[in-house]
Amino acid sequence: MNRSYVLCRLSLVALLFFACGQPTVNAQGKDLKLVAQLIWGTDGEKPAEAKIKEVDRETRDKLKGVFRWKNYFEVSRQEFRVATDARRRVQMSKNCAIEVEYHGRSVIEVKLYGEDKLLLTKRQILRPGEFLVLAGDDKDDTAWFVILTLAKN
Amino acid sequence: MSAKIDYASAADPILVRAAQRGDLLAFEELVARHRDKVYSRAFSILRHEEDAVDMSQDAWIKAWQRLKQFQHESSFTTWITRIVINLCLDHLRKQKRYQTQSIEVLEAESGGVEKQFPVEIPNPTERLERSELRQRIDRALAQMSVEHRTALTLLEYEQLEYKEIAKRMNCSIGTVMSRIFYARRRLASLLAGLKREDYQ
Amino acid sequence: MIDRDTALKVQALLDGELSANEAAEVTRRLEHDPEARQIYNELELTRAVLLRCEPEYAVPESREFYWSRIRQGIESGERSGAAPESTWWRGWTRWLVPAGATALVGLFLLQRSWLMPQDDAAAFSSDHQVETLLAEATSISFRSESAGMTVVWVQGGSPNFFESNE
Repeated sequence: MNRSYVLCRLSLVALLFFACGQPTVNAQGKDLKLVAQLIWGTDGEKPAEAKIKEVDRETRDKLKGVFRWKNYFEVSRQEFRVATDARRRVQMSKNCAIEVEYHGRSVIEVKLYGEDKLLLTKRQILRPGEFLVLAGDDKDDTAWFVILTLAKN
Repeated sequence: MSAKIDYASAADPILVRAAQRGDLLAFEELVARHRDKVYSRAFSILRHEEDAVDMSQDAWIKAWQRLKQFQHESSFTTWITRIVINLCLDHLRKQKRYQTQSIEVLEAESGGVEKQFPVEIPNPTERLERSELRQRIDRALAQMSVEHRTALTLLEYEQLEYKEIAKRMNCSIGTVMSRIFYARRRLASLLAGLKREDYQ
Repeated sequence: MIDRDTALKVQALLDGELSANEAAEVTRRLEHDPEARQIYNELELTRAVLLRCEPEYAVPESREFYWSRIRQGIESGERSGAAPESTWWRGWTRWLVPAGATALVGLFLLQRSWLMPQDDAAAFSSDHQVETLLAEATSISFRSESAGMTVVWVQGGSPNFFESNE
């Protein structure tokens, strides 16, 4: 058995190993890298004094495809990692926090807190490119959205 | 062994019989076929999209629960349409949007029905395309009170008799007749009024 | 000016609501009372227009989404043995765009503070487990395949997320 043959076989094994690891990007044992956004949905314009910005195009298109508001503004954005079987709390605003627990194999459990009170718990398989949207109505016919996605590497 | 049904091409009575035996797929096909009609009837009475969706879905759920009682005396669509109408009327009563009115109250509000509008003789609709007419009728119905619109809908589109309309609307036959008369004259006036703009 | 009772009788003639004797009497009236005849013509024309051009309204939801709630109601009714009560979450769809834009499937409903019973767990994947804990809040979960989005809509709770951080 010559060296090139062995190398070829090893390469093939390596290729198969990594191929089988897709699309589950975060196999057991790896950290999960997430992006959380707190978004405000409104039919009005952006208030001049507010330190908020329009959401990116992809997010806007996804939200507008489902929800009826004209404008979506990002109030805050957090990128963070969660290790397998670990929990991470992220403050999105003064009254909004999320706690994410990663169970491995792309399964997360999200707890949403409003004014330190637990509002809901949601378990979800989060796949690349997909959005988990926690949402509800806010005053004056506007809405809040907390969006979780996998960070793009 | 019963023959497998081709749901998409099966006639309604076949689907109904299958659904009566518990075939949910057959019932789903019936829903797909007739959902617009049932929704349409609900919306024509309620003029509220969400409520009409809710009432129409409740009607389908009730229809499933009562399916064994359906004896094919009428068409299935007639039967389910009657269910949604009853649900809509109950809904209106609960919302208290639906007041039983005496003829005297109606006359006081309208100033006497027969004095309301001059009689229009020419055919105001000859040159209107059907789709445009539909839109105008839709707008005219939207402008009516729920009582007038309901009475007219039950008579013209459900072909119910005055007695039956009175029973469902919980009012007297005289009130039904007045409401229908007012609604028709109002519709004629609205159609004629809109049409005059086209010619000016 | 024609009196109200006569006008209503003319209408009743059109609607086939008169007895044979009454119908004959009103028909005779139409032959020599031009005003009565005009009312009859107008009512007849209005009826013809209504029947010819009945407004048609389409359900503002996709087939799957519309059916999913009906199926839920049927299954819920069969489990409980009674007609389903479904009032607490009505009206939530007002937050959605008209459904033509999105095909929503898999509407999953949970009442507040109520975990999925174990015998129902098999019907749902781990994708769709929501536990709402705040007493005054309720939630509805649904998925849009075309948008690649899972949504949990929270009704009530008034979280006040946008209070100023300053």
